Amino acid sequence: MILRIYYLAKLYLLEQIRRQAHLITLFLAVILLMLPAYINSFSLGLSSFERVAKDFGLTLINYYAVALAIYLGVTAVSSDVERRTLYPLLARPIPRWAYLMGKFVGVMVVMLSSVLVLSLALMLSVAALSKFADGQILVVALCYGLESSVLAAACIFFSTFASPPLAGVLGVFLYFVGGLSTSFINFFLVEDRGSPAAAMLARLLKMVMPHFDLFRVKNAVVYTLPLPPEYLASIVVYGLAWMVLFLLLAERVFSRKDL
Amino acid sequence: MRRLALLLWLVLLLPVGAQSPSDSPSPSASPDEDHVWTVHGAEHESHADVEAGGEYTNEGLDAKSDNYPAIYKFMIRETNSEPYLRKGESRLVLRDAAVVWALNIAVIALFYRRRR
Repeated sequence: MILRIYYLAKLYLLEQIRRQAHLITLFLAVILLMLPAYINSFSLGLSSFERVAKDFGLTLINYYAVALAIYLGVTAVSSDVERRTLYPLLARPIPRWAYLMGKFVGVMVVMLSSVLVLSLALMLSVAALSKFADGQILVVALCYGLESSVLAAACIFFSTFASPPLAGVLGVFLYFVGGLSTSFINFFLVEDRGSPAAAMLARLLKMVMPHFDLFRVKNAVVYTLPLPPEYLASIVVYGLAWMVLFLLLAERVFSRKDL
Repeated sequence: MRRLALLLWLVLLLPVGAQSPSDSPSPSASPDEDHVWTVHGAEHESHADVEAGGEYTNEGLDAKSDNYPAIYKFMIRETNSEPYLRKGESRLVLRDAAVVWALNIAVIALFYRRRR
């Protein structure tokens, strides 16, 4: 069964290469390679380019990973249904859960390899100017990879019962509401906006959603703050739990679907 | 499905409509806005900066932040309350993870009963 999942993931990966998805990653990698030198030219010798470059570069990687997760997660299954390439696959002795797993592994490989390439580009370009290779950039990028993997699993689940545009909207909604930090809810919705009803609604919705804000550890690298290893371990366990839950729910809906 | 999508957008837009943005002071209204961005690095600022004025000390920042626009006040609070900086946060995350894993086991048990 693992071999079947492997072949399905490989098939998906080859399909994405044929669609030239990797070229977008390479284009962004070139931007990230030039970014610190560009920022340094404006820093007027204040040597703050490193902080700004890391902040800007990691934010760019985060948004790219999230966009990729939503796009790939939403289209992974639905494009096979629309192009009718799903039927010859399911006619073979491949259970539907293995098909979903193969797709998810393929999406994860595309996403994580993109995030890795981009973070390596950022690390190298910052190191070229500061003469210090900050390995924590990779740690933060992997946290972003974990965050987008959870989002991709959710989008695959949504795409099993909703059309691609609606699944995309649901994915964006999940990302925004699940990513609201407690301080954001308390400050903007209660203190600044004076809307406790909106705050209560946001808290209720957030309670049943993955807390994406836990994966955002960018400031630890940008401002050289301590990042406890036990915290990293806990968010890995947390992220895996949500991925398994979304895939189980996706399998439940997909196995009952009349194709 | 269309109603669901509409409802989701309404929920997203609810906080925006709660108060007009024009009620908040504009960012350009603050004469000290460029100082806010150094909050995180306040402890790491050069010695000369600390001596030059009290605005770079934590006390000075707290006193001055009363006049900052809402977005800057939020940013100060947000950057000082990162989840990984809070004590015992790992245990809270693990507790949440345990709840989700328990949910996973419940779903698997439900599947097993259904398929048997």
